[in-house]
Amino acid sequence: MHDIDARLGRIRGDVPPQAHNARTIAALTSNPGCARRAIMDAAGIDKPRLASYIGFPAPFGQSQFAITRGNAFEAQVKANGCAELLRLLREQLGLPIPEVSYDDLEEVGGHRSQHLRHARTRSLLTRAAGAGGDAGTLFDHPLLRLDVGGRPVYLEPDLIAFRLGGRFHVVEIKSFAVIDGQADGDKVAAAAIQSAVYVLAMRQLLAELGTGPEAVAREVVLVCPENFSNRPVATLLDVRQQLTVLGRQLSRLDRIESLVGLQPPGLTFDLELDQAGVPHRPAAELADDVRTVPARYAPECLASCEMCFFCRDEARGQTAALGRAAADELGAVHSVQMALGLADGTLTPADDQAEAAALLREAARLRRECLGETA
Amino acid sequence: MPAAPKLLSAVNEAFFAGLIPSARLTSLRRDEERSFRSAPFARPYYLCAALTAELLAPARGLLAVSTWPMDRRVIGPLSPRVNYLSAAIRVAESFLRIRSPGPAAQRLLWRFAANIPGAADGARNMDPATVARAAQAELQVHADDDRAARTAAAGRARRQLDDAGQLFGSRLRLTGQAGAGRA
Repeated sequence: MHDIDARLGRIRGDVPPQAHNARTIAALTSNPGCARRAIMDAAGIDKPRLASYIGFPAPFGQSQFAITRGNAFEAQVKANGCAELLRLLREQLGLPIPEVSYDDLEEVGGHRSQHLRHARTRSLLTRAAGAGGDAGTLFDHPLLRLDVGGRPVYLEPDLIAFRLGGRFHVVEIKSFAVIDGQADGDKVAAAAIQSAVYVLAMRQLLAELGTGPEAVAREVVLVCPENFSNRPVATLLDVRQQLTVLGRQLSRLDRIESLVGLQPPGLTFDLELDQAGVPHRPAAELADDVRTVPARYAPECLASCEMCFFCRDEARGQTAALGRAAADELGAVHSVQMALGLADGTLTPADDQAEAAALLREAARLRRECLGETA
Repeated sequence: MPAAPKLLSAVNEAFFAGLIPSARLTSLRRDEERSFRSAPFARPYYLCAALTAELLAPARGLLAVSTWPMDRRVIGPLSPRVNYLSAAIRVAESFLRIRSPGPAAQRLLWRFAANIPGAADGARNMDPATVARAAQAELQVHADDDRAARTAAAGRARRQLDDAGQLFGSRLRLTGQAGAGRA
C-alpha cells in the first residue's frame, strides 16, 4: 500500500490531494472503463486546474442560482423542526405521530469542525441503532465518512437521515421540480447515485459499530418541489442498482495498483507549482503525459468529467466519440475514416469487421437512394 | 417559545403593523450578547439564545427572551415540534381575536395548518378553532416527554452556567489542537 501511495503521490506532484464529495464519488460510476479518470481520481488530481492548464478548460460546476435555489428550498422543507418533511413522511411512509424527535448535527456546541461533527454523528447514530423505539427520528446534516481509494473522505450531505421501525432511511432534498408526477430522468439518476453514496457511507458507519447493512434501507426518500409550486412532494427511490455499481467502483479504486502498474514509471501530472502557486511545467509536456494514459471518451463525459474537452479533442475521428450506441453498432471499426472507407467499398473489411461493413454498405446505399443519387 | 427570525417577521406582518425584515434580526443576538457582557442586567430584558438540551450550546437560528424561565428556552429533541404546535395554537387564537384577518394572517395560519394532521382540508376552508384543536391533540402526544427533557436540561444549565452562559449558551472549548485542526 505504501508503494502505491508513493506512486500516486508522484503522479499528483507536490500538492495535497483533492477531497472527494458525493458528487465526485457519484461521477466515478459514470465511465468505469476510463483509466485516465480512474488514476486521476485515485491520485486526487485537481482536474479542473489541470484541464485549463493544458488548454481545455471545462465550464464546470453548479450555477450560483441553482445553489441558492437549492438552499432556499431545503431551508423551507426543514423549517420549524422539519414541519413540512414530517407531513410528507407521515403521508408517504406512515411515520407514527409521536416520532418527531429532531437532532441538528450541523454544529456541535457552536463548532463546525468535521472531526467533532463526525464523532457526534457516530455517537448519536450508535445510540439510535442500539436503542429500541425512541432514540431519535430525524438527524439533520449528519457528517459521514467513506473510504475512497484507501483514504477516508468526509461527506457533507444536505440530507436528513431518519429512522422508522428500526431502519434508517436517507432523505435527499433536491430542488428540481416533479411535474405531473414526472421529473427529469437525468436529474433523478444523478440524485439516486448521490443518495446511494450516502446509503453506502451510513452502512459503513453502522458496520463499524457491528450493525448489518440491512439497518439502512435501500430506498431513499427524494423530496422535490411539486409542479410549479414550492410545495414539496416525496417519492421513494430504490437505489439497489446504484449501490452495486458504487461498491464495484470503489473496490476498483482500491485495486488501482494494477492500473498504475501499466503506466510508464516516470509518469506525473505535476504542474510544478512554485512558492506562489504558479505552475511552471510546459503545458505541451504535461499534455503528452496525460495522453499516455488511455481514456475512454464518450459524449456522456461532457456532463460529468472535467477532462472532457481534452478527451473529446483527442478522440476526434474515432467512432467512440459518436456515442455508445453508434460505437456498439460499429464494433471493431474504430475510426470514422475507416467506416467511410468500408461504406463506399474502397476498403476491404477484416474478418471481425465483416458484419459492421455490411451494415455500413447498406446504410450508404439507402442514403444514396434517399438523396436521389444513382450509383 | 423560542422562534426563528423568519417566523417572527411573518407573525409581525400578519398581526401587527409595520415590518421587521428578518435579515435585521440575524445579527441581533450577537449585539445583545455584547451588550449584556459589558453591562450585565442593565436592561429589564434581552433577546437571547435558546440552548440545546444536550450541550447547552446556543441553538442555531432561534431567538428567545431573557426573562423566560430556563426550561422554556431549552431545546430538546422533541422541542422543535412542540414549539411549532404551540405556535400554531397561538397563531390560531390571535386569528380568532382580530376582526378581519388579512392575507398575511391567512397565509401564516395555512402554513401551520398544512403540516398538522387533521387541521384543515385546504387553504380556502380553514377554521382557526379546528387548527388549534388539531395542534393541541398532537401536542398532547409529545408534551410529557418534552417537558421531562427540558426540565432536566434546564436544571443542568442553572447549575453549570454563569449568567451570560445561561442567556447566550456555552460554546464547547477545544483543548489544544484536538478537533479543530484535524480533518
